[in-house]
Amino acid sequence: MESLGELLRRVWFFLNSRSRDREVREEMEQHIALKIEASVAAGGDPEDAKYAALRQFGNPTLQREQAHEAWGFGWLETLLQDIRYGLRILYRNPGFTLATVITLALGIGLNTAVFSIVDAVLLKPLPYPERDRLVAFRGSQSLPDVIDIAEQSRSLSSVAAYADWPLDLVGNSEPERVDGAMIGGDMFSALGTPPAIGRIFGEAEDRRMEPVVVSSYAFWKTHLGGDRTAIGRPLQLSGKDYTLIGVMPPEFQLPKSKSQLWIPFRVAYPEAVDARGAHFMFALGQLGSGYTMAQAQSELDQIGAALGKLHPEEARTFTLVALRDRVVGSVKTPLLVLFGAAGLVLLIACSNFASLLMARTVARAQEMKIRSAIGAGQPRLVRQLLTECVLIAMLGAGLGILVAVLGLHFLLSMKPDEVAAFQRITIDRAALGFAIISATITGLIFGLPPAFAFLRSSRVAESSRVVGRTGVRKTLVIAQVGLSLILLASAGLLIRSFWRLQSVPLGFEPEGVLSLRMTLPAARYAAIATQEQFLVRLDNELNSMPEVESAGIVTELPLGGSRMMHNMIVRDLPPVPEGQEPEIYAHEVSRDYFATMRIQMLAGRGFTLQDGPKAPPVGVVNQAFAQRFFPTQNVIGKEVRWARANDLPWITIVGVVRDVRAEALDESQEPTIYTPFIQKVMPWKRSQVVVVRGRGGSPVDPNAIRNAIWKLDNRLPITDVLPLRDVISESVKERRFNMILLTIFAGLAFTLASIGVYGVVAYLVSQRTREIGVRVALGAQRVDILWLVLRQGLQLLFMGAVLGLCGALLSSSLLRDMVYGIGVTDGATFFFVVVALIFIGVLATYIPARRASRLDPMTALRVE
Amino acid sequence: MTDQKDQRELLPGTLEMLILKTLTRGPQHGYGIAQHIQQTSDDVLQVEEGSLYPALQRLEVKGWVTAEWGISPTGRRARNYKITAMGKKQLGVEASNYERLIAGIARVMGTA
Repeated sequence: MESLGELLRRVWFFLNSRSRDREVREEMEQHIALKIEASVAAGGDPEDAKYAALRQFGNPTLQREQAHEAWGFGWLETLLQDIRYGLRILYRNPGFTLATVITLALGIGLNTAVFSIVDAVLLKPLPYPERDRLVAFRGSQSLPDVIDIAEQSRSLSSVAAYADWPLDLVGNSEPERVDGAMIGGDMFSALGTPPAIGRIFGEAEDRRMEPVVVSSYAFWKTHLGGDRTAIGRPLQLSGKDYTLIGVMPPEFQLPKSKSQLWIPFRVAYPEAVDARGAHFMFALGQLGSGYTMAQAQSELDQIGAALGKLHPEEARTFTLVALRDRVVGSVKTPLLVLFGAAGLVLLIACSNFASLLMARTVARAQEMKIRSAIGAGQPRLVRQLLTECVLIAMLGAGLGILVAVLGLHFLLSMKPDEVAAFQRITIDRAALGFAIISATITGLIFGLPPAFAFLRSSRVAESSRVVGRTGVRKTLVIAQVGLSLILLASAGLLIRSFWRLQSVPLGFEPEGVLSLRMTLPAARYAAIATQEQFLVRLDNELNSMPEVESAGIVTELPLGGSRMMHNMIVRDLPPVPEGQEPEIYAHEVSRDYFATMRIQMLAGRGFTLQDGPKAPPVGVVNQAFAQRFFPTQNVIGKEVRWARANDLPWITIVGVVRDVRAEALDESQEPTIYTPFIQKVMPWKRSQVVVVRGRGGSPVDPNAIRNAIWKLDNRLPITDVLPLRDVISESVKERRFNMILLTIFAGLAFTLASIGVYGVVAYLVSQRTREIGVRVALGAQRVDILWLVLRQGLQLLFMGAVLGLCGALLSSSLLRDMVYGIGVTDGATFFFVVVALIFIGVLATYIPARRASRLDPMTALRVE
Repeated sequence: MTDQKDQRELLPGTLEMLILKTLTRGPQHGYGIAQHIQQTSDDVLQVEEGSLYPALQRLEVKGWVTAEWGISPTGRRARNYKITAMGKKQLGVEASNYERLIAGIARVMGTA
């Protein structure tokens, strides 16, 4: 039990330990001198006196140590000593140190980065106070539906929806595009998060058309200077003034949204307020207290049925899911797979680490024996080795965190939106803790066994025991090579697939084309005639704009994510039982659609002015249709009709166009028929996509097009304004992400395996140094030695490659869903990967081989 | 030889008490303390003199003695130890503990 004074004294002594030790030494020397003096004065022989004095004094070295221990912090000082010594050892062996630290850093950094994402997306609870009671609607919803459900549902205490809405902020400096969102219903109260400053708005304010805006904390900080007096001031957004009424707390976000500013729906987009068919909002709700999701769902089914009766053409079903599931969605499995793959890489890294440590420990056999001989106990030696392991692990962790930060930054820069909009993903405390803990555990788990095993054998002082170690290391390396080959092959397959996908002919030219989606509200466009009228005016208006080269209208955009199929009967073909008529994609298009999209006409003609509403119905089909139904005949002139609609006229085929990618780049072509919208037969197809090609290849201004449309009907909701290129890019986003990630992992694994190969071969060389010396002395040339070492390395590589190939062939079937255009056992990919592996492997072997071949026989032979 | 060994076994702990007691006579350096203990005990207590120093360090860190360098009568540099007030109090505590211990042993030996 130490008093404070004693503790302070200890610390003071500790800080002055060196001078204190010196003083004690001097004291003892004086003491002994005095003794000798006294003896001599009493008449003794000086020599005898000296021996007698020393004998009576005891062992000064021991006494000095004990004197130091009297006030030293024993364990701490030993630890510091171990650390200092460990650092020195690491510094003296830069090759080893770098290899192990980098190995660990890569493995740990990668896992930390992935863990950060997993943590933010899968593990962290949703940042809303009522998170357990939050549910979301599957699919997209329209505002009128949401408002009706909000009013009628008793089990959902609040229902709200939002739609991401880019806003043009004009004010401080130059106009800036800000991510915003329109909110319908009581969103903020549904989520339960109170504002940090000011107040929020809800359905009441929305109905009163109050032009208010709530800002995120980040936006308030960056754009409004964190100034509290900004509340109450107007912000000019996309031409309207909105008053800032509140700021949300830091880190608050709408689920799956990057928006920073939130405005009421009716104020922002009055045109769409009644558009029940415009489904583009993310809807969620909060369960009332005492209600379960099942209860809310059954009530919702009833409400849905009632709404369906009132508005039959917009009847749909509503499904509730937990908010978390909706937000995480399809990312869960790939993320977990990612985590698993990262884990594999870490495994490779750890085996490298173990391998290197083993080599190191053996190389220090002599040092350990000496230390043991002069009195270091087993525990002390083990502690020493442990300290070094942990030291390396810490260095690895430190570097690994850096790797993680960079890696995460890179990963997030091309992430799928699912992951991006979730929450801000950073390396946070949890991830840091993860890094440090996994580093320490790795250091201990993979560092201890070699240390222990070696120490057991060091007692026997046999170096032949060491041979056993070689076997383990060789196996490790072969396994590493095999594993990395599997990863490489997988990555190769994905890369090749993606490349093929990119070069898939689209059938149309997307460059310079803008697309947007619009829906004609049922209220004003119930009849076919009104729809056709509007579309004709729109078509003419757009095509007469000077900056527009050509504009077209289509009901479903290629690769736009929606499709429409009908059962159809083809005349002149053998009859088919009812219900089993072929399903054919059907689109309604404007006359200039093919020209706008530059879809090539292969035979016959497109639609002309002659194909009017009263003229004989015509249609244009694609190649797939022609090949499927009339492979040997001319398809032009054949007729088709909607199945089970005997009163509808037959449609005559007048032209054939090139196949167009419709669903996804990797799907096969389906028979498709295009009919002119002017000959519409079904009134309920009211949503259209407008495509506009700018003159001279330059893109058109979206606002100009929007205004042109609104000039004809200023209450028409327009959504999804995107260049066509982006639409296509969207469709392959996830594929690209997976491919890049797997490639990175494979690259890492490969690097680590190469380091592993290098390490083992270098070690084997050092084991055979004497033998090499003898060989050289007996006349072996450089080349002979080179080949000797290379052969060993190649053996390892070969075995690893064989193992890896088998593994890759077996496991590649797992990738079946992700591969495109090539088989899962694509010969070219495998061949290339194996060649790359062998090449790098040989390189890794070559370095120690070269060193071996340059060994001076004299030095070699002198090695113990 | 065996006598000395037995005596050494008594000394851990009591050595410190003896040092403190010695220092109540006035400041002294290590050699002087060793001499005093030996002489005053009529050579019964032959301290392994080196072991004084760990003991002195312990005393110093606990604040029961202070030390400073000075010149010995023979002109040598010597580190002189002085007992502190806390040390005196500690000496009292240890002395009474020791007496109780001796009395206990004597009782046992007396009735043996």
